[in-house]
Amino acid sequence: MISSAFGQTLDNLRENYSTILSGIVMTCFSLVILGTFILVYQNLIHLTQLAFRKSHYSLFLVDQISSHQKSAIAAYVKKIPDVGGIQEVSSDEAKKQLIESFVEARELLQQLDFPTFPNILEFVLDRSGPLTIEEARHLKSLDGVHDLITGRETRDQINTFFNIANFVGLFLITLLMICMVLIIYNTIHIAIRMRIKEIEILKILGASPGFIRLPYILEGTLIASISCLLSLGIIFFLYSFVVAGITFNNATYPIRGVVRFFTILEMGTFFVTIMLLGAFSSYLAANRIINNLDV
Amino acid sequence: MQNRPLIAIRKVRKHFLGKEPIFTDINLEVSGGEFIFLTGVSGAGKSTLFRMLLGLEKPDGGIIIFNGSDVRTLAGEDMCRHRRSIGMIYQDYKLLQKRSAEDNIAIPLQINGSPRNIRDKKIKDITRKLKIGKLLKQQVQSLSGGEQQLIAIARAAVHKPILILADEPTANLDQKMATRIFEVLSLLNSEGTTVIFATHDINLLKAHQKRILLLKHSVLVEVH
Ligand SMILES: Nc1ncnc2c1ncn2[C@@H]1O[C@H](COP(=O)(O)OP(=O)(O)OP(=O)(O)O)[C@@H](O)[C@H]1O
Ligand SMILES: [Mg+2]
Repeated sequence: MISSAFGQTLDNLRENYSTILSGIVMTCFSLVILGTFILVYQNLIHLTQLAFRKSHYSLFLVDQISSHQKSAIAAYVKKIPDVGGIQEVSSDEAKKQLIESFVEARELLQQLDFPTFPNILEFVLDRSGPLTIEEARHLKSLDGVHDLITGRETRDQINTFFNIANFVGLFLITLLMICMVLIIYNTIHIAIRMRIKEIEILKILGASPGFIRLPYILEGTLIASISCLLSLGIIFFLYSFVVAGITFNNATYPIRGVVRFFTILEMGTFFVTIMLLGAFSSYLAANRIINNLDV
Repeated sequence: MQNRPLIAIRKVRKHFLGKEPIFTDINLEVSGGEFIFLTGVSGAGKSTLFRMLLGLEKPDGGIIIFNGSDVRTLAGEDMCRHRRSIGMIYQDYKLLQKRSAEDNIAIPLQINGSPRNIRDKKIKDITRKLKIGKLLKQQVQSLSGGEQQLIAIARAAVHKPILILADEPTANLDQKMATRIFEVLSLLNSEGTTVIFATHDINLLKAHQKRILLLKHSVLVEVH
């Protein structure tokens, strides 16, 4: 049954190549739009995430800290993954920095007596997430550590922004996906509708709906698969153009290594999803016609 | 079992909305192996009766028994099997125009799921019987009407159905071709297939001494 369905699919393709071709063009076109949108969206998220990746931490140390304790703390901080920019700020330096940053009030500040300016160990984390709870807890529990101050608030705001952007992006992708389903469904529905006589004949001859459906499902799957491969090719072509543009433009040159295409896994997922979509919509379209046939 | 009719139609009624009732009380019994002519003016309901036998149209009342089962109650796979046990032949052939004659004849066997070698053998058998070997590889749309009808008959008979319903198979054909079609159907009938042949063709009706049923004034009467 499968092999005869394959034969029938091939015959169908041969007989109806113009409808099928226009189906492929339609589907491919909408897939290019969908794929380009996903790619641009993905890259924008990636780029902004890179820009806002770094988070700053200040470790406040106790006043009478021994050099032994200090080096133990520094050694621990160094071992935290993705850590960088470790910098020790003594109380004198901290005072100097503070005075320098308020130029107008310099004289006033100099007259004041700062009783306790803590020693501070600053470091920067360059990773997609903040310090884990265990890391933070451990840091705070170290001998000689008074407190750990994080730039968490800005970080939280950025995360909120990302969550919203993600939501909006996914919403738009879902919307585009629904359009895709409708376009593929409609294309295949038209292609099958044109062969309603054929379906009628098969039904009169006692073919089960499954038998009638199978070649159309294969056809729908094939249309979707071919369109998907084509659209990936076209999107890659567009992508290459954009990358070339980025490389030759001084303003965008620094991000040339960061902009990326889909990974193999992403392309595979995209392909399988679209293929299943083709199969499913041809199943629906064929079913609708078979059930509404009044023979 | 021996005496059970192949077809038993009792008190069948049918009324399409907004039209005169086409059947008020149809009764018919057909034994296995019979050859019957069905006639009546255009619009009398010959095609509708065939469609009811195939389960494509439901009667408003009455029962239609075919081969021991009530056609109205069949559904799903049972309905498909029922249709496979009947070979339909139409005035307009209903062939897949862009396929070869052989592809068309093979369809019922594909639907039955016959393996390749059995399929080839059955196609060869029917081809020899109907003497259509020369047409086999040709595309249907390149064949004449009469040739197409022969292919349609081959398709209807290739899987040896119990019953063949021929709905005005000779209406578009000349006398010589009509005779050939009749002879082919007689041949199939002589091998045991029950045949109901719907026709307006007085010449055919006169030329052959067969049971004749007439659809008239919404009922079915035996003429001969
Ligand atoms: N699905 C339908 N809906 C409404 N009316 C129908 C339907 N099918 C058949 N009819 C009507 O039933 C009547 C019988 O039609 P049918 O085709 O069975 O006649 P027929 O005897 O085969 O005629 P012909 O010799 O022209 O083929 C006609 O008046 C037709 O219009
Ligand atoms: Mg008719």
